[in-house]
Amino acid sequence: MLRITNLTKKYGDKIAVDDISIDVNPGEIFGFVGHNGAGKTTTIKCIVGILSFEKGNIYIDGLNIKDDPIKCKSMMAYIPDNPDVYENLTGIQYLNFVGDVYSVNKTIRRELIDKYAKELEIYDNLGSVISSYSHGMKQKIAIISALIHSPKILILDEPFVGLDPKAQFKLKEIMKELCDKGVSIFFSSHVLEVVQKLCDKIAIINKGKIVKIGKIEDITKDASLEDVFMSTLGDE
Amino acid sequence: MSKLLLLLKVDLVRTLSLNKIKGSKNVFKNIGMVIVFLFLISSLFTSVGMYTYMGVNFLVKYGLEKYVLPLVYFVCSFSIFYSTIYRAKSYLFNSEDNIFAMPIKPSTILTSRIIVLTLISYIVTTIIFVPAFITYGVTLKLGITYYLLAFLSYLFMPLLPTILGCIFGYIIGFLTSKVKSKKIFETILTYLAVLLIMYVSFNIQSLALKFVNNVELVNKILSSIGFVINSFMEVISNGSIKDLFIYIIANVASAWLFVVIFKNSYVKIVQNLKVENAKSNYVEKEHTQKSILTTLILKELKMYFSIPIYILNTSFGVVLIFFASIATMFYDKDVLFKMMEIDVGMMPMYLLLIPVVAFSIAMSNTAACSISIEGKNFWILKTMPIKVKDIFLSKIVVNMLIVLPVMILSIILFGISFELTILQMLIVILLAVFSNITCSMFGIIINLKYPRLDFVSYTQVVKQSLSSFLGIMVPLVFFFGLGALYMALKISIDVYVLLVFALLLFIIMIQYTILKKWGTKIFNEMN
Repeated sequence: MLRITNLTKKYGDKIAVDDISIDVNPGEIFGFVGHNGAGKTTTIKCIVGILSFEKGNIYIDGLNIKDDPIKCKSMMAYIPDNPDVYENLTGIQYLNFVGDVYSVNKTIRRELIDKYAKELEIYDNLGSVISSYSHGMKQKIAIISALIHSPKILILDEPFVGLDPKAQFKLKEIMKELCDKGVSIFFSSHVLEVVQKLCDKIAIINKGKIVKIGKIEDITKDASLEDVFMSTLGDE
Repeated sequence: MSKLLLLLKVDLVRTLSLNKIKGSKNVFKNIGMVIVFLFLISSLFTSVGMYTYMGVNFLVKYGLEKYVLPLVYFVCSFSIFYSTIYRAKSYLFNSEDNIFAMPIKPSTILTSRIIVLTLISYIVTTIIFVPAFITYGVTLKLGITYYLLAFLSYLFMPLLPTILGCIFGYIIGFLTSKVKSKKIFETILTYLAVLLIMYVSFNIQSLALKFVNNVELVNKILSSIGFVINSFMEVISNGSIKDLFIYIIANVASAWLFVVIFKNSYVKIVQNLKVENAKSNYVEKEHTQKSILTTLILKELKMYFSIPIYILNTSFGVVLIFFASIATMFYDKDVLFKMMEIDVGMMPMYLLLIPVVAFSIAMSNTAACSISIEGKNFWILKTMPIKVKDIFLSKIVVNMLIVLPVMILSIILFGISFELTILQMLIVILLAVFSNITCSMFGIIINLKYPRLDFVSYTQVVKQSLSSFLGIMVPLVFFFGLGALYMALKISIDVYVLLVFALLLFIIMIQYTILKKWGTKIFNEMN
């Protein structure tokens, strides 16, 4: 579903992402782990079309993002690490805006907004302007907006930051549920326990390079992901 | 370094974007910026100097030249007061940083912010006061004492209007935070202020005569209410040292009192202004499915009407022409052209209407900062499956929706007043449509060239960004050039109008090509 081949991204002379290759299959949850500044967010921003890149290719369901960005974007949903959504709109106005852009049928839209807004306990606040929301509520709106157009792949950058424990639990449930339906999920996180429990595959990125990639059980074996991660950094 | 100095340093770097200026390595861009800056400053200095010269010559006939600088003082104070109201809301009472969580006294934060606001006010003071002082001194051949006193007056001048602006900024902020439709309320309050300025500007001649005829009354008002202006007048015209002290103490004391009174309640005020009216009673309504372009246009309109400073800065031309069109129905038909110093006897009425319409359209370019205004939300448009041309088109259409309905109505009202034929009205309306499209497209291009997505407050992007400035100035210069072309070519009106249509159409086509290729590429590279 997502194939990254030899991706390289530079900021001036500095190489932020250095020749990385990743494959995410349908129905797979892929965890992307690394310390601050390792290149996680840059990689994610290249995938979703925010950043252009010098070398390599990104394919969504076989389509190259450079050749057909609109079609690729219509299959993806992205939740950024900071949920900066249109603060002048109300929650429901923003969700309808997203629904219109992705041409979501009004019956399905209503059904999905109801379902996710109630599950994440933000339904009653949908009529308020987003500027009055807390960080966690904005994060919930960003999550719902990503889910209402039934994407084939979800790209999440630190999705659990700012969410209350109940909402974190719900989000994990939703992620599993989507995977069962064949949706792929690519997400970055610093919460290694969650990554270990949730993911089928992971990649550890350090200084722009992938230092470990594969199935979670092959990488961790009997150890915890935290130990593996620390030993990877210790190998430097 | 003391905490106040540390805060000041950081606040100045943030507010004036000093790191950006220092860090720019593009020589051509830097030279261009310097040229634009010098052009702007010299134009402003010349204008103020000329007005002062005219004022001195007008009032010297009545022996009232001593009122010229107090008038300049009033204009300068009002400009500072008015601009500070906006800055106070977005800067002085801004709680969006973590500064309040640091071990810094609220009074230190307040003092630092007041100093930054005063330093910004010095820019206005320098632009208005310095050329006025020099022109006044040179015209009346005054000695060194005058220049010394003038310099001292200049040094303390911005304090009082800045403080008054802060207090009014707080009052407006406080009132709007209590009202349900706060954006509309704030816009109405702002418009009332704008209409007052327009009224004063357009009646300056009759007000000046009223001033001359009622000089005794003015004196009484100055000495009772405006004792600071009165002191200033005494310092400048009579060299009174006693009044110089009163003037300095009044300015310094206002700032000191403000900090003393507000220091204890500052944090509470900032928190109160931040409170939004949150509802938790959402009732589901029928969802409607719209096309991508329609939903983009609606989103743009909602954004536009929720930012009062955006409305104010881009609707001035439209509001002006609308009120002028109504005024011509009831008052002297020539009033509009007299306002704009156009000689009515020179051309037919409908041709005279064209520069007025063009001026209003150039002043109402919402597109020139429409990409920058996306700011931290820019990622949304970048990650959605939307064609870049649809994004550009939505921003152009929004400018048309904001400008054209009022513009067309105004042209029809003018047409009725001036007894224009249907064909003449149609020509002006078509020219308005063509000009509006040209300006909107140019606005997008200039905003792509000079985007500012990392703004702290909307004021920075709407009022202070290079793209907003060029988005208005370049079309104004272009339309002025078109007018000059008519004068220079001395061709028939019909040929001239056809020429203008052809030229606008040509520019629209060129801009379309630029937006399609270069614009799309730049947009995709922006982040």
